[in-house]
Amino acid sequence: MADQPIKILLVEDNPGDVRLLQELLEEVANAPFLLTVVERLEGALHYLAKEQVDLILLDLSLPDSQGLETFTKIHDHAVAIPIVVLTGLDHETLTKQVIQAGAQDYLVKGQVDGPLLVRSMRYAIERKRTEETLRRVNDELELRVAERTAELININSQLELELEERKQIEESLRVSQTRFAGILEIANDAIISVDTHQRITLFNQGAEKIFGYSTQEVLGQPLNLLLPGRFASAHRQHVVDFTHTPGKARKMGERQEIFGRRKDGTEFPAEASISRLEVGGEQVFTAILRDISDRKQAEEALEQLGRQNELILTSVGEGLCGVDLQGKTTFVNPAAAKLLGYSVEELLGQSIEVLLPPYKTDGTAYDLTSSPLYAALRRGLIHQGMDEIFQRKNGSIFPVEYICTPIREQKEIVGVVIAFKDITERQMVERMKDEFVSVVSHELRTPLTSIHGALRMLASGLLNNQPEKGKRLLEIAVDSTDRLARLINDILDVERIESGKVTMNKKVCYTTDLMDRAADVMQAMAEKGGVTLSASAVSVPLWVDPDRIMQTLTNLLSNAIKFSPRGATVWLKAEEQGEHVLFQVKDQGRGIPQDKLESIFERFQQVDTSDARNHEGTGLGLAICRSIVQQHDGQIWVESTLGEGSTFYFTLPLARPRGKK
Amino acid sequence: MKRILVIDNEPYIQEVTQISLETVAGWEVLTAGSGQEGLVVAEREQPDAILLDVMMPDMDGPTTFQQLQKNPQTCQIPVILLTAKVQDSDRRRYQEMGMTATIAKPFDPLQLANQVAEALGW
Repeated sequence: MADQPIKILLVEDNPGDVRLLQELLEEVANAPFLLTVVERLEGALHYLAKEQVDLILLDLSLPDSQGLETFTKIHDHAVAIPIVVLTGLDHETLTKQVIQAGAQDYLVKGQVDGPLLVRSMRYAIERKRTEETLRRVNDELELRVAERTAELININSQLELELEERKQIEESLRVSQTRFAGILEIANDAIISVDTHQRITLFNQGAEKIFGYSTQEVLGQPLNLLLPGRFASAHRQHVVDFTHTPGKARKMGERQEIFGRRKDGTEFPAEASISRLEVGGEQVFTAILRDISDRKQAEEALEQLGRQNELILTSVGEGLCGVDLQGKTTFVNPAAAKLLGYSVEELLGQSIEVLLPPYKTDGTAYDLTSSPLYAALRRGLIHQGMDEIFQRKNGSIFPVEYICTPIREQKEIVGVVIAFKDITERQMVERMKDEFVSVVSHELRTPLTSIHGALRMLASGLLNNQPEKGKRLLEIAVDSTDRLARLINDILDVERIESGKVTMNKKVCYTTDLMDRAADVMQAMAEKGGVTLSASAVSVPLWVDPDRIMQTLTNLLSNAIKFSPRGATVWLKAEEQGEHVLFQVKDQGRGIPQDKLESIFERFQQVDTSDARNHEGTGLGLAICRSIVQQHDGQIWVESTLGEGSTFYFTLPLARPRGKK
Repeated sequence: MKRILVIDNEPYIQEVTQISLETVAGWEVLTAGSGQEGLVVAEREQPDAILLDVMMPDMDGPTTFQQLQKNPQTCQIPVILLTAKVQDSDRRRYQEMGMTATIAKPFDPLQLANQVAEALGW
């Protein structure tokens, strides 16, 4: 700068002041100045527009402008140029205003000397330069601030955007969480989460319902609370194992059933699956558990029903065969196989024809297609066969009663079930019953015929002149009446004893007492028949109905006496044999044929039916004896040799020490 | 005087029948206690008619009748069956077998002689 002259624009209309200032500048010779003078504001502005100056010396009072206005106009046109204002003495206020408006300095006319002027100008230039630098720095700073601000605004809007997004995410999270919570709560299954320490962290409403605990009760509690004691450690191990397996979820209790424990201590079977989640670096286990008590019960009931059905099928006495539409057996129960003489396996898949005999009972050939079984198959009718015959494996036939029921599946007939039973025995019983009724009616009618006939004759008066015949008819009538009465009593007796309607009035009796009384009763009859009665017995206590045993003994003795020839002996004996007493009634009569030894104990089965008439028996005595003995848990039988005699045996239980049977 | 053989295993019925026929009709009555005995008596005595009981042990009425028919000495003797079974089917069966008549038991002893005479056309 020292080398370059300082270009000064002096704006001054007063030539005296111009001169003064030129002189002052010249005083300071070492200072190179280039001074340009203009008198008017307009000229100054014009000059400034063209020329570069380093400093303006400005008089505020110009011909075309006055005061502060002069300064501001110049300053506006040359902001970067330092201005030193030249003022008069009295212009203090104006001076302050000009300094405030941006003038670098002011000089009071008349008080200016050379050095002051130079110093003021240099100072003004320096100050302006500093100001300019400051201003530039300031401008730069402002620019940076503006840039930074813009940046900040940008960041801010980005942040706002992010915030908005985040809000949306949070909202959707909240919705999802609400939805999840809702699902958790409405689920019927128990949903339970535990942390790695097996403490319960989640317990939904389903779990509350199943386990009976409230969520508050179990949160933070160990999972063991919900497990039966015996499973707790095993379960813990499972969870630990699961922790180390790679999968995220798995089903529990696939191999073994798992059980839960309710608040009230009861256990229940459950089905569960478990999943593992990593949350914040920690593992969370969530089990979904379902109470399967009802299902188990249903399964068990079904299984039991199956077993029951199976049991019924296999244990039922009736034969059961399932037959398909082709007439082949589809199932066979053991009873059916047994009745037909096959094994179940042999019968399965066989044509139903194997059970049907080649001929009917009347000898005509069996027409299979006309069989009611086929009709049931074809038409789906329930058919009941009352009098049919089936054929066994060995070709023998047996009478059956069956019911044939169609099996329908979705309204279609798929086959039939034949339930049948062998009625051989029943038919035999029925025949026996018929025979018995026939025999009984004959037995009853016989004395009735005699009574009726005798009394009719007597009543007619035809025999008034034949008193002998009349008397004989009366005897016949009386005897027949006795017989009829005995018969009726015996029939009723045997019936009632056999059916158990008569209770044996049991008490402790001694063998000797019973035998003595029986011998006494029969003594007269024995004497009349010329038969000796010999009784011998050990005195043993019995637990029996004494009247009924007397009835048995007198019956047997009476038979023995009846069939003994005059001069013979009838023996009555009793001896102890283990738990029983064995009675024997032995005669020397004609004996009983071998083939009748059993049947004589049946009703109306005398060896010779004429015996009944000849010996006043009813044909029921031995049947009654057998019934009485059987009611005492004893046995009765006979041993006999034709022409030598018979021995009837029966056993009776000994009285036990405690006096009960 | 007619001679009648009564075959019945029931002694009292036999006796009542005998007294009835003797008293009411004045016939001579022979008796037999079984079918077997009846065959013997019938052949030996040659009665005018036989009253035969159906239900007898050992040899029942129809069997006895068949035996009587087989024997030329007895086959011409008319046989009247005394039976408790009076169903038409039985009656027809017996008639088909060749029996003269069937009289139901229990019979009226005052009417029996008449029934027999009527059946035999006496």
